[in-house]
Amino acid sequence: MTTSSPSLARPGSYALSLRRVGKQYTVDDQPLPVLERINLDLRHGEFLSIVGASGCGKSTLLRLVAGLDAAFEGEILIDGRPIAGPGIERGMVFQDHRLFPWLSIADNVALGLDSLDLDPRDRDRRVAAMLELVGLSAFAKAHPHQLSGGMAQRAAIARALVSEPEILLMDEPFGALDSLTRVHLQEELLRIWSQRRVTVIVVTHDVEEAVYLSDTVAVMAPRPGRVVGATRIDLPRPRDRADPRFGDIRRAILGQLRR
Amino acid sequence: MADTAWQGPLAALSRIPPRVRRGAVLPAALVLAWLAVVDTGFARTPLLVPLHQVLSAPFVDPDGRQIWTALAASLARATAGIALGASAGVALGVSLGLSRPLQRGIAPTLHGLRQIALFAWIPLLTAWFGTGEIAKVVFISLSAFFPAFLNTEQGVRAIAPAYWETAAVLRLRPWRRVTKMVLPAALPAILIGLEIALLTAWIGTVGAEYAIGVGRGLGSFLVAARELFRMDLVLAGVVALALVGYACNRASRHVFSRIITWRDR
Amino acid sequence: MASHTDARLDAIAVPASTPRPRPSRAWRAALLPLLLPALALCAWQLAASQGWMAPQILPAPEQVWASFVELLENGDIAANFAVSLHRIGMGFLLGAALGLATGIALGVSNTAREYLDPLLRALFAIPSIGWIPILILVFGIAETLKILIIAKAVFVPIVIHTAQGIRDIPKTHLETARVLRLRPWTRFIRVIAPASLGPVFSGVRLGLGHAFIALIVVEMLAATEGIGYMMVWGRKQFQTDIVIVGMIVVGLAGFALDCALLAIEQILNRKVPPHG
Repeated sequence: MTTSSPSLARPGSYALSLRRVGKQYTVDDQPLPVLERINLDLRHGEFLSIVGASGCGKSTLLRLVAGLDAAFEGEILIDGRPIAGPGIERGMVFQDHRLFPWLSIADNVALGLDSLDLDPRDRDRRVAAMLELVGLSAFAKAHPHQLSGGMAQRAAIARALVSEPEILLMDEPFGALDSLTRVHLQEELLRIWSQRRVTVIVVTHDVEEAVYLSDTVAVMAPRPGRVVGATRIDLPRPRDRADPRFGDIRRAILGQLRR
Repeated sequence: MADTAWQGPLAALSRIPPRVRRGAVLPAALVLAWLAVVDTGFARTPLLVPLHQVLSAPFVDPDGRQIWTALAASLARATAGIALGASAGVALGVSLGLSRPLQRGIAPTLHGLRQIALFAWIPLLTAWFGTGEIAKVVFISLSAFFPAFLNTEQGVRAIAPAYWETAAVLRLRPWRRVTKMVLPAALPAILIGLEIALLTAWIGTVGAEYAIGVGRGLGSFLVAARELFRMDLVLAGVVALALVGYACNRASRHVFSRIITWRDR
Repeated sequence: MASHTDARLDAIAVPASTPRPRPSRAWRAALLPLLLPALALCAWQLAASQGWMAPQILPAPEQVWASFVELLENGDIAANFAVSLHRIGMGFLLGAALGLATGIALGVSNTAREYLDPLLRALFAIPSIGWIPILILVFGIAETLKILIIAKAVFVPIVIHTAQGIRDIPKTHLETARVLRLRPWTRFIRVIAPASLGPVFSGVRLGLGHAFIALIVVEMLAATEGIGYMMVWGRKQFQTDIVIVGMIVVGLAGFALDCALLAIEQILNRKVPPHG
């Protein structure tokens, strides 16, 4: 039912591969390791959550995968090819929605297609379809300040997905929202994921969220950041938070965190 | 009977809020004193000109009527100079805000040039370009350039890193990044720079005309009025100067506040 | 050990995307600001030595330097400087005294503000260049004119900032003063003055900046001495090298003034932390 191993490395063709990825800062001429020998393999369509206490480097790791930071050791491979900066095959959702306040929701989502040079009708069609998917069709012409936090985050997800990336990266995507909205958006995310089957990596400090959403939950420990556990969750979706098996898995992962 | 005659205006007066009433006291007193002392002919010096003369000069006095063509010439010159200077300032501000090497190479020189009081450029400009239009328009452009440049550059540099990252993640191409992210994000600062540039350039226009003295314009009008010892024309000119500056400031502020229709959450 | 590492991590919490300059890059970066002035100087030298433009329009760099040294040595610059310094000093004292008094009145008393505000606004709307012809007709181009113009330029920002600074004092301070039943004088010395010191100094700094600009303007238009007059004088004699020397002197003086004020403000900020 649950397995625990320090490495997630498995043979085969992977959507994302991390091979001995490490990162260090230099402070006062001393190297300060932030990430140490991270190994990870993600299959296409897999849903991975990374949990860990603050300062364990999970966000740093995500930013490396996103291509926002090029200073690291080891290899990061997308479909077997090493990354070179941000790429349209990786969509990213931040904790603050980062929608441009001067553009309408539709225009914000359309920015996700900007680098693709599409025919305007094509572009509008895809934007409309994406807004439909996240349930914001009625707000296409609204501006971000007119939306609630949950709706704005949905728009951010739409923007990240509209270019049909292979991998969706999410950095504490629901951290800024109240718990009711968070639960609702978790369900929405699963619905979108089941329709689109992207590979998803969610970084979160909320273990329950991780267990609810993911196929695999990786646990990171800080100083230096490293993967100390990986739990495969075989429960069928939609998952019941009240299910005793759910609680067992959650407790096991919390235990890994405390070690 | 006399009571009812006063009641109408008195009632109207009492409806005006006290703050406005008190604010009007000093100006009204000054005007009344002016009328009482000067207009009635009680004081007779060439410097104390009657109020009615100041107000009517632009319309009835042959020298006073020159003020209209002078104003038109000044406004035309100001518009040309502002268009040149402000656009150069914004363009340079954006470029320097975007490129570190450009900024390090050019900004220090510009900041050094900024230390020279603006007015001090006039003798050099007249040495280079004579006393014609070019010198004045160049000076006006300079006056508009610095505020526009400084505020634009600051605005671009103050753009939140979150926006830069989002543009990177979305893989926006350089030109689209400028039009869709950099310019809108820096727009509040750019508009403030333009507001300041407008006022500075207007004052610079009249200042340059005054210093150079030759040609048509409000500044030359003031010089001529002063040399003729016509205090009434000088006052009329100064009022025109202040009114145009004030009106431009209010108008630009109103227009600019309408442009920024979004609010950051 | 763990907490030590934590602190170091916190100290370097920079966004991942900021690059770290390598040593050779840093050396190059320090020289970059000098590139443009160096190029300009070369172009200037070239134009002058080739005689592309008449010396009245573009004097050679060495000519400008020679004039600068000459004026420095025969005391012209120093004499003009002294005159300007005297003017700006007097004008500043007058404007600052009036400005502080008016600003305090406006800040402390709402009724005073209501009476004075419209008139002051109208006065502020008239720039220095507007006051000059009016005051020339009244005072001629005597010293009084220059001091008055400078005083007006100083007056405006000091009034505005002092009044605002006093009005921005947190209500809690004033309530505490009331609860302690402080006498008006004590309230002023112990509460209002210290609490508004920051904004007041801002106004003073702005005022000095405006004073300098007004000094240059009035010296260029209506004076026979002073660093502002130097440029007009050079222009009249078609000696553009003197004009440029004058501009450099004005620029350096303005810069020195700015630096001095910044230093004072920093000292003040350390001694009296801003309220809030």
